[in-house]
Amino acid sequence: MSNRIDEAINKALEKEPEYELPHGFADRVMAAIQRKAAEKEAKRDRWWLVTGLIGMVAAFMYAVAAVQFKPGVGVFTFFSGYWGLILFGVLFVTALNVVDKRLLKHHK
Amino acid sequence: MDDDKALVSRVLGGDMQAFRALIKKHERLVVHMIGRIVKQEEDREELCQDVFLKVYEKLADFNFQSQLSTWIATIAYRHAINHLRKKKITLAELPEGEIVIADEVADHDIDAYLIKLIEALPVQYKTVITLYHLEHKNYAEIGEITGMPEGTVKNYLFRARQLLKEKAAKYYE
Repeated sequence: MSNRIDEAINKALEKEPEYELPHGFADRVMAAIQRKAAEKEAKRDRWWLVTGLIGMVAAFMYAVAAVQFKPGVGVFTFFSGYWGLILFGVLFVTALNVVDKRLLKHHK
Repeated sequence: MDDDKALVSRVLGGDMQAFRALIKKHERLVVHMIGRIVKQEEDREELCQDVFLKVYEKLADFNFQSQLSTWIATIAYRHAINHLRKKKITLAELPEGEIVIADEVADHDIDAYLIKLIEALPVQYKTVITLYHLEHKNYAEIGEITGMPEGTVKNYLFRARQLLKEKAAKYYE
């Protein structure tokens, strides 16, 4: 009787749990590793971008303060006497775009 | 051990196929640990996955002071226990009263009855018997994995077996 009990207990203790991992489990782990690495890299890139932007704003503010910059129209007053030149520039660039669309892109 | 060393050094060198081989080699161990400790089927796969993600993250810190399987089992055990704590499932001592098993199981098959009894044991008992009987870990290794003193490990093994014996004896009466 005692032997029978011991035998049954040993058999039960050595029986593996019925739960099994699905087929392709290793692939899912590998995909999760790659996903995590990509997220980490994106996070690092975002950190550099934000740090860069903050640095740029700080540098700009420092530069404004250092040179005692005062905003004004400044150099743009120069263009006030050349309306014809500005108009020509705008028309010329528009014409170039039209030619580009109609002829060159059509050619491709 | 040398086999594991070679595998680990290949993984650390960036060989992902080596990590796939490491998963294949140790997934049975992780399944045994998680499968025995966590009852919720829907959580098991995710937990097993988290264990291997942790193994991958921490592999560079593993210094071969123990077997790789012992280290992985430690991670699996901690993950499973943390999961139970999050779900507020207690890691109780052996119940003073009866462990109740459904009559339809008890009436037909002693093997199924004993399996149900094992499933109904408290988590730490199940962990210790799984590591001892399925993973063939010794007392010191089980102690390292669970953080229990060796004496406690021996005591849990003895008490779990004793309880199963008493129940099985009643079954045969």
